[in-house]
Amino acid sequence: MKYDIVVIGGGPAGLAAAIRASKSASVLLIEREARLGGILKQCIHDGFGVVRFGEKLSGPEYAHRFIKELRQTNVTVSTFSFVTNVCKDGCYKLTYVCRDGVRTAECDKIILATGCRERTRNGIFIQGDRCSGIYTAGSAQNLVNIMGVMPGRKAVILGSGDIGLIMARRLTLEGAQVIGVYEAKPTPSGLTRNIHQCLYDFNIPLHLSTTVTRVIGSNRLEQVEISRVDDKMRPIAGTESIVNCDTLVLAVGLIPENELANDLSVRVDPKTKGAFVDQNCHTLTDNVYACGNALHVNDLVDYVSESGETAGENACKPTRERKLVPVTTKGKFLYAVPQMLDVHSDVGGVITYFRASEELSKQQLTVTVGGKEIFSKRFAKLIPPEMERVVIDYSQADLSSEQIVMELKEW
Amino acid sequence: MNLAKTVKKVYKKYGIKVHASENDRSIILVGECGDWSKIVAAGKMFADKNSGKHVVNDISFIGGQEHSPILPAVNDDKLDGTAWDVVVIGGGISGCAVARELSKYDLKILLCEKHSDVAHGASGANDGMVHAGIDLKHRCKKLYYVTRGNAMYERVCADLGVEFERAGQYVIFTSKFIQLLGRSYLTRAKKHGIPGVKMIGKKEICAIEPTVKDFAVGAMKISTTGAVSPYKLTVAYAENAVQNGVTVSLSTAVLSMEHTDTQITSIITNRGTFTAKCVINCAGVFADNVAEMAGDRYFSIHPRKGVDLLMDPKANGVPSNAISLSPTLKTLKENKNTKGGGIVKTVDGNILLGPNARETYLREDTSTCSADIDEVFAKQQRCCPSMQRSGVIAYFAGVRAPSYEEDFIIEHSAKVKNLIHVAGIQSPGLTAAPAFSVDVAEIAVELLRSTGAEVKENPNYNPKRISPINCKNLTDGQRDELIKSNPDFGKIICRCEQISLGEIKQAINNPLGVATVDGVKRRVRAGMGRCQGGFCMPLVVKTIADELGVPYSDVNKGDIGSYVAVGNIKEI
Amino acid sequence: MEMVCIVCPNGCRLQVEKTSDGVNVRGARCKRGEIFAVTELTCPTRSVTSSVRTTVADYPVVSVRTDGEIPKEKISKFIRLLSEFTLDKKVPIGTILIKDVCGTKINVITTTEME
Repeated sequence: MKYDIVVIGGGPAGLAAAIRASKSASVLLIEREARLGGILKQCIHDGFGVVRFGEKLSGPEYAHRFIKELRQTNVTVSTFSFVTNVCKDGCYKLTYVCRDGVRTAECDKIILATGCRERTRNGIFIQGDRCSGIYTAGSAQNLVNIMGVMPGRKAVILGSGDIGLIMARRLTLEGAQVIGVYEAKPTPSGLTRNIHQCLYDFNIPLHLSTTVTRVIGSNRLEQVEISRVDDKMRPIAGTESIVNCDTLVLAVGLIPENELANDLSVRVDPKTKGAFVDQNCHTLTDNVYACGNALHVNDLVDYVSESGETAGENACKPTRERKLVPVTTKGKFLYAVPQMLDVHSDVGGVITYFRASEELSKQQLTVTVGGKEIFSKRFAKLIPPEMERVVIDYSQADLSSEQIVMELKEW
Repeated sequence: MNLAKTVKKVYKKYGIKVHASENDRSIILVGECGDWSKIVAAGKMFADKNSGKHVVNDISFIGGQEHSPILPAVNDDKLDGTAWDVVVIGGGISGCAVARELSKYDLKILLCEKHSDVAHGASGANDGMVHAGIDLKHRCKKLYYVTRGNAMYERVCADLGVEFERAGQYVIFTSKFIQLLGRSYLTRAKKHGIPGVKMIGKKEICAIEPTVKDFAVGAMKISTTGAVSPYKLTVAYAENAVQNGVTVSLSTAVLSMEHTDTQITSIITNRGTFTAKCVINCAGVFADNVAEMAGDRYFSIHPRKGVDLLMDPKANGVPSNAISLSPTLKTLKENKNTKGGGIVKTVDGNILLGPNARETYLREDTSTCSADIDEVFAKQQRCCPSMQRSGVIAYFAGVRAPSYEEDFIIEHSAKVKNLIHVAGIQSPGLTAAPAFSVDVAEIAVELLRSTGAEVKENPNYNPKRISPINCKNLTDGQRDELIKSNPDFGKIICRCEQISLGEIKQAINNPLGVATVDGVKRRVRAGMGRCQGGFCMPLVVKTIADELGVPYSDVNKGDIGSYVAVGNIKEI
Repeated sequence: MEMVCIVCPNGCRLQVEKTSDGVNVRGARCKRGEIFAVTELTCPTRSVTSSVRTTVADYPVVSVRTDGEIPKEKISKFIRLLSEFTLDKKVPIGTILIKDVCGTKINVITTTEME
């Protein structure tokens, strides 16, 4: 079958992209799992959609709103379908396997909405035994919320990422004892409100600048060794202590899933670990778009959907030659997206997401084009766990200078 | 060997007062010391290959924690009162290969493995290199079996349905002087009967492996070096053995034996007591313990831990070939116990670095520590400076089982008539196993015949393993047909390695009856990819529970007791 | 005293003072933050999300939440109530499973569409 657009991934980004694209294009949505919704299916806590709907929905409810809308469109949906190969031969040719066999599809454009994955124990070098009882927060969440089973009775959480905080509360509510959340960084990784409503509400202590250095257990986890870390996050010898527990939950960060992007030779930003894109979510590979957590890891689903819509909207537009101008960042940015502007397309309201690289107060964001200020905004406080979103209007700027600079400075 | 002289030397060098005595098979050392590495070093000083005697090192380790073997958390009478022609103790590569070779004969064979799967020890935790044997000394059992084993690999892997790749290996020379010395390898290769060894120039090696271009002056290519998945081969041997009538009993630990001076009369395990006409000791790091159970301890195993690192093959600066630096006089002095490790390309296309070598008194300590990882990485980075530490995606440790003579002990016991030892099997034991297992089977058959037993060939023996379907090896058309006959093969469960539900179900229903998360991971790689099972583990657990018809809480990661869930929510 | 507003992801840091004529709240970026501070001082409430067991194939559990906030001190009683509940058929998303939880006028609704 030939489609205008194939969207890969049926989570919040892919759903939004497919719905938006279907308004003027034929769309195939390929989803790996049996049900649409992506990771939202297991995020049964609330707080989704506050920005978009002004309501505190749970993850499955948020997803359901989009799935319902998708059913009103003419998008072809193929679930439990896995893309095994994609190549370019004039148009893009995809091969995917599903319950019915090996299928192929052709399309002009691809939208990658493949989400992200969790960092693992190996990625953070925890040493020790090879026992059971060590879970990433996401797999613990799946066990509890989808499969309905408890991973253990006495848990230690490593990392203060949002899923870790959410799981601390979830496990506590289901009767497990959560001994504490340990974070190697001097500041928490999750949203402040989650620290309060997930930990402090349940008297779960948060230990900063502390990490798990060893896991101990012959078959099942029996103990973990905890150490303080120095300012470079290296364990300090002599500060080790042993904590008895049967479960270790790792919430040590997320990484955009980019296997297909690699197959398509999409260039990846080492800062976001997602694709380099222009304001239309268009990657450096022509006709390949990226959105949602595959692009950069968001903390709010509302913005995941927003970038899906940006990708869907723009993928429908006819292909024109682009002129890409890099957006340079100065000051303490962790990253900023988009990393470049296509000055041949609409530069009116460019939605820009960024994070500071460290906790900062009294910061002014200024955007200059060719040395001329076109935008500025002040922030009382910027912290890495909380992504900021600004809309920048470049339409009045003289972009011929090709010098776009975003700068963070104290005010 | 002049024992008194060596005793003095040991005292001078290590300050250990050793009492050494000898009998017709062993040199026995007694004494005490608070430093394990010194104890091992002292033991080595008494090793003398020419005498044919083995070191039994009983120097006690003052301050060493008492360390009892891990035992399976099960006790029943499954095997009680049974009688076997052959009992193989240990389900590593040695035991599984021996069991399979013996399955050519019409015998009642039992293989006991104390863990919940085969290849649990060093056989499952090594780099999978099939060695050429160029660095081995002449006239040792290792060399004899390695050269023969290496040549058997195509055939064995074809029969067992295991991937094998003979991609060769490159030893990099960093100076003209070393390159000149390296030519002695050619003479050695000729003497050892190793084909396909040749010198190549700077230009050629840099074209093959650009990561060495800044320092290589040339290289030696060893064409016969290959790669195999060590645990897949072990599993395949065991499965083929089972298909040919062998009984494999997992979670079965040999606890003790009843014996006379010359005969094992019964074997006591946690699954019952039974008899065997022939016992084959393939117990790896516990081979000397098993020998002792039979009253036949005439050698010692000194466990040696090695750590390997798995590199992301897509990371920057990672080499794409098996390479190692040619040893210099300095590096040879630094470490004599390992062939120096190297950079190995696995059959799955991953790059492994390692291993290092650390003497340990803990026979089952496969834990890792950051010092080991730093050591391995730093060492192999000398061979490939462009590699980044951030490219390391996983690491594992294995404990090897060398004897003090650093050679294989493959022989019929001189004392116990119904016992055969396959001990001291360390690297390159994987390479050697296809060859020595044939010999061990013959020794066993001879032993049985000498007791008057009639040993016939197994009329149903089939060397070809009935191997599971691997979707990766199918064309799209074949796969399409397969899915149409069984939709499970179209449902991808492990996204990183693209493993379908059908393949996972096959892995769960394997001939050995291993239904664990790790068992699935080792057989079909589900959970071995970049997410390390983060996404698929819950689904694998569910599939195991569904296939076995048990609650989730009965599913183990590996051995009994390594549960993944404690029970249903709302119920605990 | 200081508190962090948990109403929305902004997580405003509030300075809350009890005064003679009520509660004085500073630092809230919206009206909801001020309301939050007052309830947090007088009778803290939370919306609660959890799940209930089912006997429906492919759904060992189904997710639920309260359709409003319940007093904090009633959370553990509420969770016990849920563990006694078993859903025996497929229901549409948003179905009320338990009415008027612990006398709060708040209901428990399902939050997953059972396909």
